[in-house]
Amino acid sequence: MANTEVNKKTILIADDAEINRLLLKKIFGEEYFIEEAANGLEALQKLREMPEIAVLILDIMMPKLDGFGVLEVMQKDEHLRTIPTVVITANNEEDTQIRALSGGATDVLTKPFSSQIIMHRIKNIMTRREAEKLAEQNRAYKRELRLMYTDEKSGLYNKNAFHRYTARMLEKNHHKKFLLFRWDIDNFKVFNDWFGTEVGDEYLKKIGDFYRKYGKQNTALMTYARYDADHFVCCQEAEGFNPEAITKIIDEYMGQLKNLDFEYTPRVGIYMINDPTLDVALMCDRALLALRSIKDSYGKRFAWFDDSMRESMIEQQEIVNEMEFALKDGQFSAYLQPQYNYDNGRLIGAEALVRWKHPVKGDIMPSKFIPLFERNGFISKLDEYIWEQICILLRKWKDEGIPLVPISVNVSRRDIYNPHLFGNILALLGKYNLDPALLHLEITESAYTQNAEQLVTTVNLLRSHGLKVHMDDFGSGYSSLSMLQDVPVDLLKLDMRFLGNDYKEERSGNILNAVVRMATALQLPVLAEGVETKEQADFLRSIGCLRMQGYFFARPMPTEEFEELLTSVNTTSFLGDSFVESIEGSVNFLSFSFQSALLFNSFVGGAAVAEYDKRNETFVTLRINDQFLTEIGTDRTQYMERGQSVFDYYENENKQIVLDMLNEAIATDKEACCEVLTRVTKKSDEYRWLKLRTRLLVASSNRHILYVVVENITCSKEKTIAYEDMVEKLTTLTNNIPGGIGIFEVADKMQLVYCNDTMAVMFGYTHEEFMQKFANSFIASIHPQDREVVEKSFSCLLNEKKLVENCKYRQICKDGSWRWVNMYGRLMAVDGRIPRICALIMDTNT
Amino acid sequence: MNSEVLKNAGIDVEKGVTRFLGDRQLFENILLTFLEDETFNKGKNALKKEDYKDLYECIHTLKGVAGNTDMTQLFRTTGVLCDYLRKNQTVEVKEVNSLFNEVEEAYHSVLAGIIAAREV
Repeated sequence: MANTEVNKKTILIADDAEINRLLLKKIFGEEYFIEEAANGLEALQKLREMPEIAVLILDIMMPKLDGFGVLEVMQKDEHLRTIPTVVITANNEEDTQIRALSGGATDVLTKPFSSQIIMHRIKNIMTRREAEKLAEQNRAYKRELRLMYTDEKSGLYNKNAFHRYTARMLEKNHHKKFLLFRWDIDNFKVFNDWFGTEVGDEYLKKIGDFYRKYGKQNTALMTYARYDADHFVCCQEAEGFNPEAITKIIDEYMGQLKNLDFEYTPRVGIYMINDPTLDVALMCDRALLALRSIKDSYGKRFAWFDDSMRESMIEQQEIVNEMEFALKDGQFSAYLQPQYNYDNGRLIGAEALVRWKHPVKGDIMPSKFIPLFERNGFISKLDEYIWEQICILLRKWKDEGIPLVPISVNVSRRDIYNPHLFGNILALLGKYNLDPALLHLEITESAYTQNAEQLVTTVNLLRSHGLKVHMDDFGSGYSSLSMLQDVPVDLLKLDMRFLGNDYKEERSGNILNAVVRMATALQLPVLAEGVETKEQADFLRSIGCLRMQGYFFARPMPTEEFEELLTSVNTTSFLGDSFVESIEGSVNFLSFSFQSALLFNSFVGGAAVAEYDKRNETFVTLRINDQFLTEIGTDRTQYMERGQSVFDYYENENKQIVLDMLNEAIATDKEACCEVLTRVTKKSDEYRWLKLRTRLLVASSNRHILYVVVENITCSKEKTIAYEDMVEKLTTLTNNIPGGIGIFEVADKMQLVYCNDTMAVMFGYTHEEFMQKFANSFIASIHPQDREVVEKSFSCLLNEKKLVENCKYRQICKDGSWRWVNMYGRLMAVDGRIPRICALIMDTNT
Repeated sequence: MNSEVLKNAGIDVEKGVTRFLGDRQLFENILLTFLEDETFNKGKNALKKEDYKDLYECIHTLKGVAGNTDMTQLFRTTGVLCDYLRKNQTVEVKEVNSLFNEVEEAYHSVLAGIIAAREV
């Protein structure tokens, strides 16, 4: 039963007595449609089935479910409770009326009622209901409007609203001059990532408050809004506007909000509106250009838009207009910058960089179009084009038998999010039938921080198919160092421009050092790009970063030139070409300076600066010169691969010897030294003897930096060992001869410089006693009657140059008795020194 | 129908017609409908069973109808009985019966009046 007549409402009459219903039907039948119910349940049923019922007339006394019951049910229902209900009852008791009203009835009438009165009451209720509905609709409409035009989080206008209202304001006030200023929160995305979107939203709300406050405090006409994620705009009367003041106000306000460690410097771009009929969006763009112009500058806080910016905008627009065609036309090409291993001079690869040669404008700098393409997404097409060009090149070289090196290509942030990326790359490799190892992918560090999960998935996928991935611009983004553990990457590219130049010498040396060491610990190869001087190259090498790329070696070059490089036999051609020397420099073992490098590298012998961690018993070199490697018998590449741990080269007790030396040096703060046996490489059987001398440079709790000098003493050590060996043999021999052996020096006295044990024992003495008694004057041990004989014998040997002489004599024993002995003497080689006689003394009766 | 007869039976015809917005025909039809109304009989049965709750409901309904149709006497007596039943938890049988008799009298009077008026 649909209402076909517009605006005719429906009334439901619920009363069990037919007569009552008839009466009411009579009263209302003309103006309204009537529905009837004879009991509470019927009434509810009809209410639910017919949402067009505008009013319910409800009797209390009904079977099945009475009026109160109906009211109760209605109250619980979201829709039903909005239907106005007039209760009529024959019971004129107050408590019935109260119960009805408190049960939700709109009105109560007692029977018998006046027909007129009830008619008017119902009518009034209807009208009020209508009005309410309309008001609600209006409210909803306004809310819709507000949503369309308001930014929820800050409570300010959104972009669209701003455009509209500003245009209107400008039109109304065309006699006044206006300007538009725009500012933003740097790195709001990062802010959200770090602190969570809740905090970010709170921030936005506070900025909304700021604006509202500003608007109230200022009498000038204005509109303001949140314009895109983290930009805010305001269009204001130009009169009385002071850019410094506004910057300060924003600064102060934001400073208040800054209770987190988030650096924020407000920058304001301002556009003076000369033509108020211009599209407001365009005005905002111009303010943005002004803002961008000072984005990275430290000093300037605000900037006015001027025409040169407009030109750059026009330029950008032109680039955008021409980019598609340029791509098809082949105006983009890949240039290659070689990468070298500085230690052995070998060419190890190249990075592909895009160049744009415009037929009219000439060479267009990548800095002019790369950021733009990244913003508008064109970069993906360009990247794919370059990848294909490289694949074509690699294929060509392979076919021509030219020796290949892997080429690195850039993969922009946008490409990572392209679900077809993986497929496209594999397709390219397949199309040109290339080994995936030939194509390396460079992904900038900031891509890793923004959407790590997706990136990790994609990168893992690529690597699992044999492609290598480099993290580009390491150090320029916001990644944490621990991220490197989880993030799959095959090589870190360190940009010298970030890590090498902006800081004081010492600091940058230490940072680079730390990064290289960390990479080594994670077994991550590193490559330094942007290497521009020999100093930098030498320093990098000394800390273990051997792979390099930069102007010092070669500029990016056309592929034909690179091809020549590949085909030329002499791959070390770059070495020896350019020398950049500087004059000043202090002797700082971890600095770039030329002098210290010279000193370290050539002057000192085998030397290293190393760090000793007492607790973990590790000893790792931070910097080593070439001689160090020569002394220990390895080359830099091998050494780097081993991880620069000194202890790796020592086995067993030798390691302990070194440890003892280190501890001594630390304890005494003096030079300590030791001699150790070391194996040259883990596999070989070649051993060396090294003399190590060390001295403490810097001490701090558990870690100490020491200077170590190394000398290969294998030869002399071997001699010493042989010598000691000989001495031992000789001693054994002499002690086993059944006779006394003595060596005499005869100057004015007869001196015994050596005798064996037997010599003493024969006469009842210990070796000590004997030497003590007779070393100085041997003649004292001879029988006085025989002394002449012995002296004669000796002088024969000495003067008459007889080699051998013997004689018989008596020698004293400890117990006082005399013993007859034979002495066989021999003159030993003179050699410019005091002559020596070697004598064998034996019992005569033997 | 004859107004005099109805008036004598305890029906205020003028008021009633006015109540029905001047539609005399409708009013008279409704009176005729009332002849078939079973409410009173239900009430009488309830009284016999001493089901005072049921009795109350019937009398209450009857009162409503009487009010809407301007059966003044019936309206008044049913009102008295209703009040009594509502106000007294425990009911005195004698009193109830007495009040009910008044109702019955008024009721029959009305019925008779309608029938008589119909003939005319």
